[in-house]
Amino acid sequence: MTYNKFLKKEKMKRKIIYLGVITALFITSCKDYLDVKSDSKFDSDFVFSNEYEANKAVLGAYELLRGSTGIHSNGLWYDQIAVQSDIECPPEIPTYGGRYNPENCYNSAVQLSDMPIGSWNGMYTLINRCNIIIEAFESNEAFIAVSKTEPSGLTHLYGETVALRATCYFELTRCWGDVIYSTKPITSQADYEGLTVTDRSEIQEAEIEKLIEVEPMMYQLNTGSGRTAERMTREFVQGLIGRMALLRGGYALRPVEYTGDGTVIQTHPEWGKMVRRTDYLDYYTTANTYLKKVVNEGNATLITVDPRTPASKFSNPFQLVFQKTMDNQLSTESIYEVPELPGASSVERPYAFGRPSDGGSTDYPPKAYGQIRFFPTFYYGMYNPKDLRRDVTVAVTALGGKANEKIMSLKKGNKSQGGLALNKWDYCRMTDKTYAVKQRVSGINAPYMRLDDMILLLAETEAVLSHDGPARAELLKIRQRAFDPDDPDYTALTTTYVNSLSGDALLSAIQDERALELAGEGQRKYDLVRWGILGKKINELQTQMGAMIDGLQTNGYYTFANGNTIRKYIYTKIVNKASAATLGVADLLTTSCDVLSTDPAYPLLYPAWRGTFTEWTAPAGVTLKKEMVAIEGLFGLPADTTALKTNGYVMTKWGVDLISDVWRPVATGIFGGYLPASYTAGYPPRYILAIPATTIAYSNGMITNSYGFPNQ
Amino acid sequence: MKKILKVFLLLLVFITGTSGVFAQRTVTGTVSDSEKQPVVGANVVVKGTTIGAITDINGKYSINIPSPESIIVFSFIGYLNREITVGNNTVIDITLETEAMALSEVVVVGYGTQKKTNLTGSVATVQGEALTSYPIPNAAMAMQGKIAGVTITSIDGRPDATVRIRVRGGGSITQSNDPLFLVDGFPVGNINDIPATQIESINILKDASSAAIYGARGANGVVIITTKAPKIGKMNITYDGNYQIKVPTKYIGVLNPYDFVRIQWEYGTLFSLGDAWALAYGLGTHLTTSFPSPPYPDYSTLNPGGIDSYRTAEFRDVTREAINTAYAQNHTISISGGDEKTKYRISYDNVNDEGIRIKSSQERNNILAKLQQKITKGLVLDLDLFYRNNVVYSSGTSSTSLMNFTPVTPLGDISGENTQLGMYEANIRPAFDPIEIINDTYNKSVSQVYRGGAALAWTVFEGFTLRSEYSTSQGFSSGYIWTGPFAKNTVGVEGGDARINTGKSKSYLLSNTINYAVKFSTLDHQLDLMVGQEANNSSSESGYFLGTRYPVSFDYKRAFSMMNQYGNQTEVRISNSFSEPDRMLSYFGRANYGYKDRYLLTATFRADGSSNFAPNHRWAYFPALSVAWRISEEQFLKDVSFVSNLKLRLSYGEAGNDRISSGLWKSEWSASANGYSYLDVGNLYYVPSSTMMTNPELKWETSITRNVGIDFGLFENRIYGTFDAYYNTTKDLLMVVQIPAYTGYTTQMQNAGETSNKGIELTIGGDIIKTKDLKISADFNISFNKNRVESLAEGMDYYYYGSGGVNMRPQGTNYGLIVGQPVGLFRGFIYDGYYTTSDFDYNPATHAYTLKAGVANSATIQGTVPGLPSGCYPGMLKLKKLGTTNNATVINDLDDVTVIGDPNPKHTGGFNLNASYKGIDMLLAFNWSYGNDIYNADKSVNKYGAKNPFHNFSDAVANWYKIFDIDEDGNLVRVYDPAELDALNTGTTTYYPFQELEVINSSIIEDGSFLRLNNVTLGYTLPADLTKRIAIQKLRVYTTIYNALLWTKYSGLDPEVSTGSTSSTYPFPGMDSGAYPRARTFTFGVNVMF
Repeated sequence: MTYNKFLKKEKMKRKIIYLGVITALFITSCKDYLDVKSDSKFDSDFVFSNEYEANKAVLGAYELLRGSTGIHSNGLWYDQIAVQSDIECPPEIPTYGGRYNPENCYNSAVQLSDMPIGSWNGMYTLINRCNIIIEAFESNEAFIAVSKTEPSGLTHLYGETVALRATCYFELTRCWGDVIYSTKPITSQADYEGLTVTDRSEIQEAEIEKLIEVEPMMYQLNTGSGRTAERMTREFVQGLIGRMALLRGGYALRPVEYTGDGTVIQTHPEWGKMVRRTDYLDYYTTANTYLKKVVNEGNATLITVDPRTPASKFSNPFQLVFQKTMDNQLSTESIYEVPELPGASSVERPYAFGRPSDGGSTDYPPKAYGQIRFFPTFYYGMYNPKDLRRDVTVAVTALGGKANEKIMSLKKGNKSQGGLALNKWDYCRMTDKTYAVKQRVSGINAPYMRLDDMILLLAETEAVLSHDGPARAELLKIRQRAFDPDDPDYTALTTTYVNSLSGDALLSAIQDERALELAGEGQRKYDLVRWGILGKKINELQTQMGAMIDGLQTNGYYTFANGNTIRKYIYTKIVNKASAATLGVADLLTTSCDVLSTDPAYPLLYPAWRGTFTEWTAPAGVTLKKEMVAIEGLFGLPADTTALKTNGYVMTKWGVDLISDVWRPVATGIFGGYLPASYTAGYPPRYILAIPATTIAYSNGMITNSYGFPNQ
Repeated sequence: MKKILKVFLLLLVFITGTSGVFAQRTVTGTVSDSEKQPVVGANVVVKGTTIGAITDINGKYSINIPSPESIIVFSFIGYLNREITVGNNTVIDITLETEAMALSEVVVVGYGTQKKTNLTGSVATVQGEALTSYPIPNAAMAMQGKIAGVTITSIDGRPDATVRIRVRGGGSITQSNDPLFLVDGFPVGNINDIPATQIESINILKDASSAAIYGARGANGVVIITTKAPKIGKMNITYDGNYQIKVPTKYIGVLNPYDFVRIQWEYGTLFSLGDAWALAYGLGTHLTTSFPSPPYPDYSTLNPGGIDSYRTAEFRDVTREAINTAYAQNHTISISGGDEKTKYRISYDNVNDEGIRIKSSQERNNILAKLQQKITKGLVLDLDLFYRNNVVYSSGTSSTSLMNFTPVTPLGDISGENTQLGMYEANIRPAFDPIEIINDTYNKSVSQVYRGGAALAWTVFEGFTLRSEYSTSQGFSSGYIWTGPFAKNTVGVEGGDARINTGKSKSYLLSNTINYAVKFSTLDHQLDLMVGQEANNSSSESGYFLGTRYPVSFDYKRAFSMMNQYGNQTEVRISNSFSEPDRMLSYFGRANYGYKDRYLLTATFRADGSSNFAPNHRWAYFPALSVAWRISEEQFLKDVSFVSNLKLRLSYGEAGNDRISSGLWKSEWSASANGYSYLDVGNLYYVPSSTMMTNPELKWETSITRNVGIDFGLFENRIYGTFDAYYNTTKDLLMVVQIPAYTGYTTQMQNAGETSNKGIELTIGGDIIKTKDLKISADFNISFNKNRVESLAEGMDYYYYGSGGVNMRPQGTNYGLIVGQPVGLFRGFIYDGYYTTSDFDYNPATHAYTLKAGVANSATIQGTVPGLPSGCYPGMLKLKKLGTTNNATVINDLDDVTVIGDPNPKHTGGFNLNASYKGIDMLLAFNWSYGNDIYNADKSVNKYGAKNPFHNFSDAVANWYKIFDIDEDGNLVRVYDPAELDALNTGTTTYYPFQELEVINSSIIEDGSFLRLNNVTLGYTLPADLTKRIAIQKLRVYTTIYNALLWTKYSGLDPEVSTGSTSSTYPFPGMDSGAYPRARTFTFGVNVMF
């Protein structure tokens, strides 16, 4: 073998080996190469492996309820639920289109883009999330193994998920009527292809059944760590069964094509008919059963005592309920609040739901728009002047943004214009002012279910089931808290009043009491719907408003049936802190005070729960005014106002700003879509919402609108 | 095998050196260039030995050669190597051809190169020289106007602006239409960070027959960047530097102080805030008597001149304060050299670019190093390293807030107890001065990229090469955002907030290829084969830190350096997460066959597996076939002397797209930020990883392209050109499809719909004059592309989507995808001027205006105009009634919204003129776009009230319809009578902008056609004999005006704009919203070669 040959052979060998290696590289492809995984993602086996991890999945669902459903603040609640009943209204002129259209029972051409689509989508997102979690629990071995007749960590979480879903169906069926119903996770086209709307009764029945199933598996309020009113507990489930059963047992607008049973009280060829199913008493019974549990066996207790001192200044347990939320505490009366984090953005109390302020985005206090306003007919016409709840509920003054108070203008507008406003929340009353100097970061929770509401619902069920005695007992609880025990009329206004009621009058009194107790909290409109009296009440409101405006126009004042009088003009005076002190008013942020009208401080202290907090921490260069408004003539004026003028009072516009068509029953006024002629004709008010355009469009013809709504 | 052995044997013989012994002798000669100028410093080497010489100042050399068979290799940077067998010559004079000319003959086609004459697909090439003749720090922008069928648009004029490159329109709707970018074979996200000076060539594969070799990601075309390679020769140093002055060209005007104060007085009066406004600005006389409650303002001294004083008042134009002349610098140094065995090139590039908007700038440093080492015979190692550090400062505030701010500060109290002006303070109070807010905001983003690769090429025998390559890239980015107390409007109360975002990305590419040029016994056949395999992985990590309310004494430096000293415990956030790796595994092959150099065929095939799809849908196969016929080589054309080149090309191919987020096909959970706050702390929770409904059926998007092309050269290629026509369809589009919301999701990624692009492209160029001293050449290109939505999701003929929020009409439907129409149409109402008194019946008793029968009511979609009766009123924006289905008289978004514009141009193109005379060179580069519409959102948003009075409007409002007059006392008085209104409005050109809602209508859609003289360069190269005295080979000085001239009817800042959200699912092309203005840039630069 020559050298060259050897070399050749060796080189050949080497090359062949190299080539072989490379070829191997080509052919060998790692089979798993394309199976990738991120350590930041994990499967549901891990999530539902134990209570601690499963809890986080449930919290994700709660966060959707808080952030996406719009059922407690912005979105559906702001747009539709909390405004435009016979007592509540939005601050601005009802224009065409947008949210104002459904608010006013459609006073202009219905456009599906007017509908609160975010809340619709948000609720279905939450429903699907709940269905995913429910299925994960139901297929999880640990959950399968655990007892279903008593509470445990896993069953409680399961129950919370069921309650979250039921909450959505409660809101959906009361606002939209018949909706799409799904209790299984939707993961592919096949899962949703056949879905169409389900009759609301079926949905409500199924959800009630499911809630009844989980009720015993859940822990009670305030037992165990973290089971506060910021999570759903057994009490909430009981209350929700009550709410849902009453919805099922109440009147509702059903489409023209509805052929089921029930009593029809109003009907319209396109809008549909107001119907109550014939079996409604069964549901009143169910509601009664569970409302009794929540009221009598639950851990939520009514605040009946105000421990704040001095007693002469406070003594208003009703206000304490809201003070707790402003102090970032949970009151014993709360069953479920949607929690908000102080400092986090878009917290709507008091910004949208509270005492208005003309302040800027950061101020003392900052801007508060004031989405919830009250009709003067409610403030003047419904409240007994001794009702401690009136001044806690309704603000007649706004804030100026520089530690100053302003008289409210009854002209349509916003902030210090727009009329009598919700007073239950007020930047000035937040004890920690860190988050009270910047708009929409207050961290005040949104109340969703409270014991007083449950007590009144229980009273209602008792009354409807003809148990007048128990009904009166429940009503009395609420009534007693609402008046000052030291007042000479206390017994007359509470025990005597309640005991005088029976039958329809009792039911009617309970209905009115709900307005007085829960005004501005999103109950009234749908209460009226299920009672079948929304149309009647709208008509009464329109009549009353018309009479009031006529009176103001003709006489300069109007006196309501209860003797209260509203005037065109009142008298006001700006009083600074030093001047107030000379009148014995040391603190410009006033509280309850049963001051006599002869007291020199009366114009500052009446109405109560107003004024302004003065000791803000403001930067150098910001001058705080430290002023409040002295008011004369809100309910009556001396015949001669010369003395007032001499004392520096200025004639100020009040009822005169109500003399406008926007407050009258015309197409561009209040409830322009349900004018008196509609009521007379026996039409139902079209309070219901149309299914949003996108849902219709992407449903491939499976979903269409009823009630005369368009389909695009 | 026998053949291989034969070749191998020959090689061995050569290597072991069995040749005889010869007498040495000397060969001399001159090396010159094509212009007969001596080439100084050229390398002259005897091939396969270490014997070498270098040419002297006259280009002369002298070298000893060992044998007549010796081959001398002549090389010099910038020139093509030449090899000459010595034979019996003793004097060898040679001419070196410049590389640019030479290179244009070879085209990079992906996993290899190809002779241009042999190309069968549609490939466009830009050579480095064309990119570097004038300075642009960004490779993407340097291509603008140079390539037919490739549209290059920077979103606006900001430093480091995103540049969009679209090859033949792009087929995707909701997914990226970016082409695949490869830098030296490595896939990258964009090419903005490659300095043009470091680029050897850019090749763009436009049709699938060429792009199919990158099948997986080739559907939108492939842009292949080849950076400059090392060259044999003595060490060579070049320096390119320039200095730029950037001048703003245009501002969006705002109302002057008189108009501002007056229109706000009117608007405020409608809002019941007129008196408060009058108090703030000292207007009118009735205030002292009518102000509703004491203390009455001391009004007499505030502004004795009343409103007229604002005609001459000094004022600020905040938009001009924010935009100023700025300066930029760019320096590049490169060193290269080497011998037969080792070659190297290192370059450093520095860009320091100050933006014309205050507090915006960019500083970038690039280092690129390449080394080529011959290890043994046939074995070559290539190493390259790329480093880039980029720092960008941006000023966060939008143009809108600049525009809206008051030109004159209020004189009086605006927070008075009876005013509500405080509510609208952001527009008028000095505490909201946008310039100060910009100055109190710090927004810095830093990013670094490290990329390195090694490739080993082994020529097993001649024509048979194995190549293995491994490249990896690591990217790091950090964003620092500080919002100071002024920007937060919390001066003295609480300090600023600080946030750091971090990102890390990692990717690698491993590829193995075999190239085999099959040898045939006859030259008639030519066959090149290539097969390969590739694995590609990329993954990322992202995190952020947030701290708020730092102590009042902290500035951003302290906050970022002591981030744990935050003031607010509850708002602190930390997060870090890893992405799912994005992986692809591929096998591919290509065959090029040529017969008699006339008939050419290329066939490619690629199989790709992508981790973005479920296992059963992972793999996709992309075939392509193309043929070409070089007609000029046929006998019948051989005699036609003026035709020097004529080639017909035909191609058909498929390419794919997998560019979606990973993990869309499977349900998983991931951690979310803290939210639900029970127990008054934010709680952590889990959410499904995908916000879209998952879809296990997802598969590849496929593009089919068909191309016919002609390449021609006339008169010895003095005139040359290319014509292409194509028809591309993209099916199974990866599209975000709307699904019914009651599913719990609103969208799902699906393979739905189809789009097509049809177009023609023409490039034509010529050397008009080509003499020794004077050279003039020109080139021109034009492209027509017609984009069409062929189908959408099942059962859907159109899909409307919106760029605006709840205050826009039509709400959420101002863009549309309509089957049979191009992508991204603008939708809105048809503008019909404004209502005049003649549209109404007037009731003098009530002042009421009632619309006459037959006049459409446009009020309902405009929202509230406070202070005006609901319904229409003279002076209000008027729209055309188009349909009557939903409502016969009231304008509504079902009947009256229509397509009002199309952002797609009818044609785009460029032409470039190069001239040189002796040492002087000149360039004129134009580019244009014709027939595209622009959605001028700036015009729209500055023409409506938004129920937010006291913000300034654009000067387009200047002659608004007046319903108020100013009386002799300088008071504002409402005018009702029709005749008086008519008299008052003789000079009116537009509606009053008091409506609450933004109504998108045809008046904001404008023709975006433009012709831009984008580049004017004048250079002078000093005579070589002069510069050589100071040891400089070449010295060129030049001046360039970038964005020199612009011809357009567009009223906005610049018609080359596309600021539509890039993060949104659906495309918003052609939108001009708050664009960063484009400067005119004057550059002074120098190129030096040592």
